[in-house]
Amino acid sequence: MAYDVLIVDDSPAMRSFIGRVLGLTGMEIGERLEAGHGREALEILGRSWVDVILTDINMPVMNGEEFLAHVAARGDLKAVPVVVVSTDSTGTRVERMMSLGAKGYVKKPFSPESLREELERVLEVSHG
Amino acid sequence: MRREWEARIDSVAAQFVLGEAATVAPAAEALAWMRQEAGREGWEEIARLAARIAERMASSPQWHTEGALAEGLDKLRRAVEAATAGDAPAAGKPPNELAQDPGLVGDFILETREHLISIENDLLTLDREPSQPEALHSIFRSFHTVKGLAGFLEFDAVRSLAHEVETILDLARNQQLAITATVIDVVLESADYLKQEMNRLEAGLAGAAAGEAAAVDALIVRVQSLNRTSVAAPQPVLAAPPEAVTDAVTGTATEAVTGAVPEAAPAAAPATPEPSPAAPGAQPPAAAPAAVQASAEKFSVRVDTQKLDHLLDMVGEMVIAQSMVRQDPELAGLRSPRVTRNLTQLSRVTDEVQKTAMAMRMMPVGQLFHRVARLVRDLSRKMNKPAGLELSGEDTQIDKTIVEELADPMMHMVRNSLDHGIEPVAARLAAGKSESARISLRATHQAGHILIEIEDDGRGLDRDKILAKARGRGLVGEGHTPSDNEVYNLIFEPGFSTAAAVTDVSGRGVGMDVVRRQVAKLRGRIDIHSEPGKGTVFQLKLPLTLAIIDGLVVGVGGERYIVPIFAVQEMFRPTPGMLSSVKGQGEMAMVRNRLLPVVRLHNRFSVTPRTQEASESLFVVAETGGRRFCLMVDEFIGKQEVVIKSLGEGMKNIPGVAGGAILGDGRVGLILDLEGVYGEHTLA
Repeated sequence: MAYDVLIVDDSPAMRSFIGRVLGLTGMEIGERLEAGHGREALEILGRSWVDVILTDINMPVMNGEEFLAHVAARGDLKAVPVVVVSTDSTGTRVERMMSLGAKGYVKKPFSPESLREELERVLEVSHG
Repeated sequence: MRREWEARIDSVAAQFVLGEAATVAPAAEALAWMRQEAGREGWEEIARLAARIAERMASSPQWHTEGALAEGLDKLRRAVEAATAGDAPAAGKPPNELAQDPGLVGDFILETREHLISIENDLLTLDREPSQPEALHSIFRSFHTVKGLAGFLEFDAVRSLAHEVETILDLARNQQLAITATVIDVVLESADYLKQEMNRLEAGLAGAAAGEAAAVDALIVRVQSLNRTSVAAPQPVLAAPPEAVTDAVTGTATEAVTGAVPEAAPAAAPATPEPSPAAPGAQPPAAAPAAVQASAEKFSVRVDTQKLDHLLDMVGEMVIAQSMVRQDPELAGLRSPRVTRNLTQLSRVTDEVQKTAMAMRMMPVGQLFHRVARLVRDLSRKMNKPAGLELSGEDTQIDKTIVEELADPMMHMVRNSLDHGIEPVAARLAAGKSESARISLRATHQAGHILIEIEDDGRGLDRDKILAKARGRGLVGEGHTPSDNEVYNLIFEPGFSTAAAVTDVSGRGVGMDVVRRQVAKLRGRIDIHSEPGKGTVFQLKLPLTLAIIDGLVVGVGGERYIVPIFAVQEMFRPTPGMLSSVKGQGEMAMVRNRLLPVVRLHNRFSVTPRTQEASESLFVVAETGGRRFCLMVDEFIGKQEVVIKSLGEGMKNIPGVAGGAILGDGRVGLILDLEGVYGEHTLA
């Protein structure tokens, strides 16, 4: 099955980078959606099917924490795992993202392997 | 990442080898950094090891055994190597694949440059108001983003530098570091380095041998030292409650970091919702770029300028084709209401398409202003002349090429203002002026063109000095008493400089003539107003776009010529009484009590005119490069907006011709370059 991914990051170049690394994971990626901040991401989530969300923390308009809180509050998105993708956050910051409902974390820059590992974990992809 | 660790481990190792007690303090500092950094990374063992080394080192020097400490340090080094192996540039790793992709690298360069522009603007805001949280936050975020991107591409120099700057800015955000002029200087310098790196990378993309990244280590050390000086110094500037500071210092810095977020979020809030039209003008300067960025980011698409230019060209052709169809006599002969209605609709749509296409090439003049702001800051410090810059009309839209081409002349004029116009502080105070000079940049739209004014409150132009120099150089005859305006215009003469001493800033006598030439090239004009003791205003009048010209279509014989309308002062049929021949100067005409040279256009282009008799022809009084002259033509045909077409390589540099245009009736006309037309005249 191809996974539809939503990338939430305020840097357009970063979104391209992440998209490229996604392509290198060897995973089957379907739709690749992008949002510049949390609010835009919520809009997209309202109208498009998404299997997994990759989100930055520091963003204008609506940052990652607020975004997570919104996602958690929405009953329809319970089954959509969120992976935090951030440059160098302090442990507490990541912990807080996790307590808000994030399922995974990868530190930028990341390799396709580590991204794949994390995605497979949160998507509960069975090997074999 | 690895590079910083290595540098610090090496420095501690060096201090161990030296075995000096005096060096313990910096070593302890480096170890404290390692401890904290390892904590942030979640490398608990490394953090503990660093702590143990530091503890051992802090004990009485008599217990220091070089061997044990060095061994401990080696252990630390190996642990760090293992821990960073994940993000080390191992061969064949995919991140390299990213850096191999010109598209991604191009995205990176583009985005970094955007960040650099906003960084510079925000820094200048901080320079004026050090306690501007939005500006500081925005700079921090920009460096953070650049760091993240460079990390993916493994541009280590850029990444390390951005990381260090980010660290410093983070301290400032948490009120642990005061924003001083030195901090701003070093951050500006870092931005300059990034700018230079972007140019290098871009050259690499274009296929040039890009070479290695410029050395960054010295700069990194300087950025790091900002932290050290601030820690050593007492912090009277900080208004933060003491517990916040101690909290952050004692390692729970995380609290301070996250604490900054809710604070920053409302600060960014005004920029976030649907941009309200009233807001931008009223906001402080720092908020405006942020608002623009936030609203522009979501809906913008990047387009190659070449594609855009081609589109504009084609739109120009379409407008002409449309007007040819509309004016087609056969179609008009049909007298069909339906055809007329459809043609009207067509022309309305083409007009709209043309306007939209033009608008795509437009950009706010503010970007140019902010470059000048940087210059004013640098120069006023260098010359020890405090100066404040006032900007207005930054949102005024103007053709991209004009903005680009105007940068050098603007910089030059401002440099001149600061160097020659603005008095030294003592002289200002003696003259009853404020210590800090004021320079204003204003941009306004006026019918069909844009007006940019550069004003200073300096000493004004020295009429007598300029005139004396001009007489000395034979530019003005002894008997002639020129008007103020004529005198001021003399500073645009080639090689004219009244600076008593040549400074390294300006005064070599190159420049103002180049300024005028550049402005003329953009089909603009420049005027000076000056009042002794009060200051000087340079006024630049520029067209809104370079793709279209408002022209006066004139005829000579069977040919059509287009005179740029901004240069036209008046038009009339001369009477025989106005004409005279002055020895050595050729034909002259008396126009409003001034004797102006006459240029017969038919002689310039060797066409047979309808009449050789001046009194049966038409005179167009044109001004170019500060000189007026009469252009003799057969007839006036009309006023028309024409799309400028290049004549192609073969006919590029014909003196007197700026380009070609297809007129409404489908005929071709040459657009005159008046400077060239007049220049030919003086040579003849």
